[in-house]
Amino acid sequence: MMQKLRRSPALMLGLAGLAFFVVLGIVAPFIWTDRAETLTDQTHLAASAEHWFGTDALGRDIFARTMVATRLTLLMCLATTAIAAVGGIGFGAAIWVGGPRVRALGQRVIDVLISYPSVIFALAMVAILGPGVGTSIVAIGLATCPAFARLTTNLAASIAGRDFVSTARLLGVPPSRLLRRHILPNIAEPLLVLLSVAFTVSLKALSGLSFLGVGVQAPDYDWGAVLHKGLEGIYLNPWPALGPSLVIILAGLSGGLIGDGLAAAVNPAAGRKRGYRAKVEALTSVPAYDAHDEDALAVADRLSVVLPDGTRLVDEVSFAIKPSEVLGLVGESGSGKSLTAMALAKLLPDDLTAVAGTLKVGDLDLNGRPPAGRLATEIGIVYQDPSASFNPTLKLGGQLTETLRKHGGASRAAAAEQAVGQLAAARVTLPEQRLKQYPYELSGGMRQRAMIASALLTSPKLLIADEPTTALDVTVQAEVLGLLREANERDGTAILLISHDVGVISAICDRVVVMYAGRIVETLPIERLRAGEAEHPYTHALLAATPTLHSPVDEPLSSIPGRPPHPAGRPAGCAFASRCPLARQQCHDELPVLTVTDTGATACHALHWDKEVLA
Amino acid sequence: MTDAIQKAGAGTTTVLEVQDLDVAFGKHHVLKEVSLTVPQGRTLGLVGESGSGKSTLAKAIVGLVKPAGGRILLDGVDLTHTKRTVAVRRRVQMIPQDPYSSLNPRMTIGETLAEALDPRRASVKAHRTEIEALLNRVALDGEVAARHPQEFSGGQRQRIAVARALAVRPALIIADEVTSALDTSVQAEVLGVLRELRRELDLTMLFISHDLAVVRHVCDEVAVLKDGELVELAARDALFGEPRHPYTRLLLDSVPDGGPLRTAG
Repeated sequence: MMQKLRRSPALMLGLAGLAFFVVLGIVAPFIWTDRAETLTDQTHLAASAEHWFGTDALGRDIFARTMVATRLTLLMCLATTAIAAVGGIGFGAAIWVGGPRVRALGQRVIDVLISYPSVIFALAMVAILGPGVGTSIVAIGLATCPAFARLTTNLAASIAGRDFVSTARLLGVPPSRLLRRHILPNIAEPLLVLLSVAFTVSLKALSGLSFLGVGVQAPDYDWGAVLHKGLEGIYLNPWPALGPSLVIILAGLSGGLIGDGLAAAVNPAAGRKRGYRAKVEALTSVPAYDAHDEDALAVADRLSVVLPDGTRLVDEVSFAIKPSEVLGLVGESGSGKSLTAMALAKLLPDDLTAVAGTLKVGDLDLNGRPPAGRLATEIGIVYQDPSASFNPTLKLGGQLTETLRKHGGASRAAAAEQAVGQLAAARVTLPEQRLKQYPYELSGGMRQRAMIASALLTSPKLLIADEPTTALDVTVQAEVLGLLREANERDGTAILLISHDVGVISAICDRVVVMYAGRIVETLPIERLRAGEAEHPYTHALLAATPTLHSPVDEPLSSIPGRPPHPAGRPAGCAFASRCPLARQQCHDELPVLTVTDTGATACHALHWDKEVLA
Repeated sequence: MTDAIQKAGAGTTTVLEVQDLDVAFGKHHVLKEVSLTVPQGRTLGLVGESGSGKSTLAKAIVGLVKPAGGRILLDGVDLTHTKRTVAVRRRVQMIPQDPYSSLNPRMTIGETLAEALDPRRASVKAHRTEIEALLNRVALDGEVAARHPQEFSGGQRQRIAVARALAVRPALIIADEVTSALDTSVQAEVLGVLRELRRELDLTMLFISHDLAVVRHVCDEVAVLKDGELVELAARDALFGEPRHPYTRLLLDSVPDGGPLRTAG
C-alpha cells in the first residue's frame, strides 16, 4: 500500500521532521543530560552563545533540558496514540461485530464521549489518580479513543454494505475473520490519517497538561514541563519559554504535515489538476466523411475529447446529423459515445477539452463561445438517470419553466401553460398537478417523461438523449422510446440517441454510428443494422453477442475475446485489431480511415482486401 | 399452471421448493403466495420489473429476509423453520450483480477462493490444486490466483465470482442480475461460462434477470413475477412462443428486439 502513495512535498517534509525528532530523542540524553541536570549557580541567565535558551532557577541549561525532554515527550505521545488507536479501533470493531443492538447503543456511547473535551476528561482523571507520566498517558489516550471508535464503526458500516462482505457471510466466514480480512484492510488508509492526527493532538494535550503543572512531575520533565518553568520569568527573559514552545510547534507541524500528506495521497480526487487546458494539437487528417454536408443540422468534424495530459478519450470522430433525423450512437463502456454527445452540448467536465475542426449545431458555433441562452434553448438534453436530473428540493413547475422564463422571455403563466401542454404530450398523467409536485412524488417512468417534456419545451433543434431508458423497466422503456420517436415525427426535432443497447438503437433510429475505443468504426442506415448486415467486424461481433428473442438458443452467443485498449495505449493501427478475427499485419500498423461504402462508411482494411481479391 | 411443470419435472429430484411464500415489509406485501420448484440440474429464470419482488425472493431463500408465511424447502429440508447454520448457509450460494463490489480489493484471487473453500483458515497453500481447478473451470489460468481483482476486467471478475460460488459445491446457485453491469460482449462471455458449467456440473440455478432475451438464452423454465405475484410459470419455449398471461405478452412486446419499435398499447 505504501509504495502506491503519492509522495507529496507535505508528506516528505513531515516525515523528515519526524525522523529528525526521533533521532534527537535517541541521541539527546547521551549528549546533554549533564548540562540539563547539573545544578550550577548561573541561575536565570538570558539567552547567549553558551546557553541558547538561557538557564533556569537552578542554573540548568534550558536548551539542553529541551533536547533531553524530546525522548520522554515522544515516548509519551507514542504510548498515548497507541492506547487511543488500539482501544478505539478495538471498541469500534467490537460494537460493529456485536450486532445491530450493541451497535446502536455503542454509537450513542461514542457520541457522548466524543462531545467531552479531552483535556477536561484528562483533568478529571488527574484529580482522581494524581498527576504523573502514567496518568497523563492513560488520560489522553482514553480521551482520544472515541474518535477512533467512531471512525472505525462508520467506515466498517460502509464497507459492510459491499457485496464481498455479504458473500463472505454467506460462505460462513466467522465475524473475527470478516473483520480482520475484509473490513480492516479496506479502512486502513483513513485510520492511518487519523493516527498521525492523533499523534499531533496528543502532543498538544500532553504538553498542555504538563504546562498546567498537572502532567509530568519533577524530577521528570517533558517539553510542557520545561515550558511551564520557563514561563516564570517570561517578561525579563523570554527564551526559556519561547525555546520549548518552538520545538513543540515544529514537532506538531511535522505530525500535521504527515496527516495532510497521507490524506491527500489516499484520496485519488485530491491533487488532480483542474482548469488546466490541454494543448490544442494541430488537426491531422482532412475533413472526413459527411462532415462537409451542407444541409446537415449538426456537424462534428474531427472532434477529439482530450484529457489534460493529452490522452484522447475521443479520437477525431466526424459525423453529421441531418434535420429531423434520429441518429443513434452505439458503443460499449469506454467507447467515448457519451463524451462525444456531451461535447456537442458543450457540457464536458472541466478537465476535459473538446478540439474540433468544426463543431456546430445549426448556426451555433460550438468551437467558439456560444451565448448561453441559445445553447440552453436550441439543444435539449435527456439524461440516463431521471432521479438525478431534477433538483429534489424544488417543485417541478419552476424547474420545467426555468429555461423558458430565463432565456425565452416568457411570463410565468405562459411558461406554465406551455409546460402543461408538453407534459400532456409526453403523456404525464395529471399535468397541472405535477407542476406543484416535487420530483420524488413521481415514479421513475413519469420523471423521465417529464424530463423529455422539459427538454422539448424550448423547441430545441437537437435533442440529445444519453442512455435515456437504461434505468427504466422494459415496458416503460418502450413507452419512452415511443415518445422520442413521436416528438421527432411531430415537430421534426432531430435526435441524437446514445445507447449501449443495439436493440434500443434499432427501435427508433434512422441511422447509426458505431463507436469503439474512442473512434467511429462504422456508420450505417438502420435497415442494415436491423438485418445484421454490418460491414465492420466489430459491429458484426457486437450483433452476434447480443441475445435476442429470435436468435437460436441451442448454440452459445459468440463473445469477443480480450478487451478494448485503454485510451492512453490506443495502438497506431486499428483499435479493434487485437480482438478481430480478420486482422492482418496491416491492421496493427495502419489506422484505417472511414471510407464511404454504398450505404454508409466503414473504417476497416478488410473491405479493401475483398476488392483486391475480386479485382 | 404450475402443475404441468411439476409433472414435467417428475422423476428428477427437486432441489428447491418454494410453497406459498409470503413476504411483507410492514403492511406492504412484497411476495404473495409464490410457489415454484427447481429440479436438480435445471435453471429457472425469474423475470419481472422493478418492484416485482424477484430480489426479495432471492433474499428469502438465502435467509436475509424472513418470510411472513409459506415454506422454503431445500432438498426437502424446510429452511424457514431450521436454524441457518454455516452448513445450511453454504448449501445456497449467490453470485452478486456487481463484479466491482463483490470481490475484496485487498485480497488476491487465490485468497478469495481459499476462503470459499475453507472460511476459517483460508490457506491458499493447502488448497492450491483446488483453486487452480476452479479457475480453469471458468476458463481462467491458474496463475491469476496471485493477482488482485483490480487487474481484471468486469467479465473476468464475474467469472471469478462464479468460481467462488462453485467452490462451495452448493445445492443451488442464485445468479442475481449477474450480467446487468456488464457490456454486451462481456455478457456473452459470462453467459457462455455459465452455459458450459451447467452442462458439465449439472448445476441447479435460479437465474434472476430483468432481461428477457438473456433469460431465454440461459434458462429451462421461466417464472414471471408482477407486483409480488407469480403470473406465469412455463417451460422456456412455451413461454416465449405462446405466452399465456397478458402481462407476459406485454413484457415480450416491449423488448427492443432488433426491429423498429412496436407501439406498445
